Amino acid sequence: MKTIYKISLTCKEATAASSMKEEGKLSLFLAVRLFLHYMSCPPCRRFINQFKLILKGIRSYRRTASDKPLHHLSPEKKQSLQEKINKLG
Amino acid sequence: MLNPKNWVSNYGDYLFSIALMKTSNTEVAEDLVQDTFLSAIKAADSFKGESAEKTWLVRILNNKIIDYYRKKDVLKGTSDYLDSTENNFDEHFFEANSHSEAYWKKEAMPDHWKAEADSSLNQAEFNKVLEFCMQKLPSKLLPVFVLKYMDDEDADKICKELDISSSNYWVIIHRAKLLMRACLEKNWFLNEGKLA
Repeated sequence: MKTIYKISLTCKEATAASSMKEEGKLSLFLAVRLFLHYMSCPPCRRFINQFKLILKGIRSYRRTASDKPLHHLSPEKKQSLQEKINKLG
Repeated sequence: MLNPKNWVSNYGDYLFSIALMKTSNTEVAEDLVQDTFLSAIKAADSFKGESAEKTWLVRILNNKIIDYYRKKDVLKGTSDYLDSTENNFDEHFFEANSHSEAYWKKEAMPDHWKAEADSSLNQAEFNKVLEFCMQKLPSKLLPVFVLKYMDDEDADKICKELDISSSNYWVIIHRAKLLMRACLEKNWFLNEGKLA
């Protein structure tokens, strides 16, 4: 058991390493240790899978936001902005 | 070519939405939109017509936002902030045991999500909750989260743009993900859009 403890990551380390894996910045040794951690840690597996769902939601958010604005400037702000532009332009 | 007389009506809300999403601050977002339009007029000569007017304005706005992150004290003292909040942060999420396994705190452990709590089922509501959770991110964590997940930039580019070390980058990403997951779990995936 002692060896396993040394090789295996803590949940803090595993969740941190998962982000490095996302960007391909994980060494092979760390990747193996991360894999071993996942094998024995359902909450960390949920963390990874849930963040994938979140990323899917973020992508949809970005699509919606690029189609049409999600927020609006007040009419007063728009008017003062246009006046400033007209003065310069 | 450029048509500044229509900028506010055509792109005002769009640019404002981007700025608000990236700064979580209405006043700052309004100022950034104004700066963008005024800089664009001054730089009108550099508009070559290779990209659409809207794309060109978005690029100017994004540069303004990076300047804001860098200059307006948003990221000043990031290392000290990360160091001084490390223990609190760890204690919130993980058990500090004497042996090397630091397990999740019971109340912070990723819960089983309802299968039907998919963001695509009610995108408009999910978007509100996502923005709510981004607003709740500590201001020193937001810029990195935005550049990575909203702009798809990679670690090297973000570190360079924001002038932060790579080790701080990974700490910020780690914390931001833990916080965002916890906030979205509480306000969406377990409760479907009921902001707590």
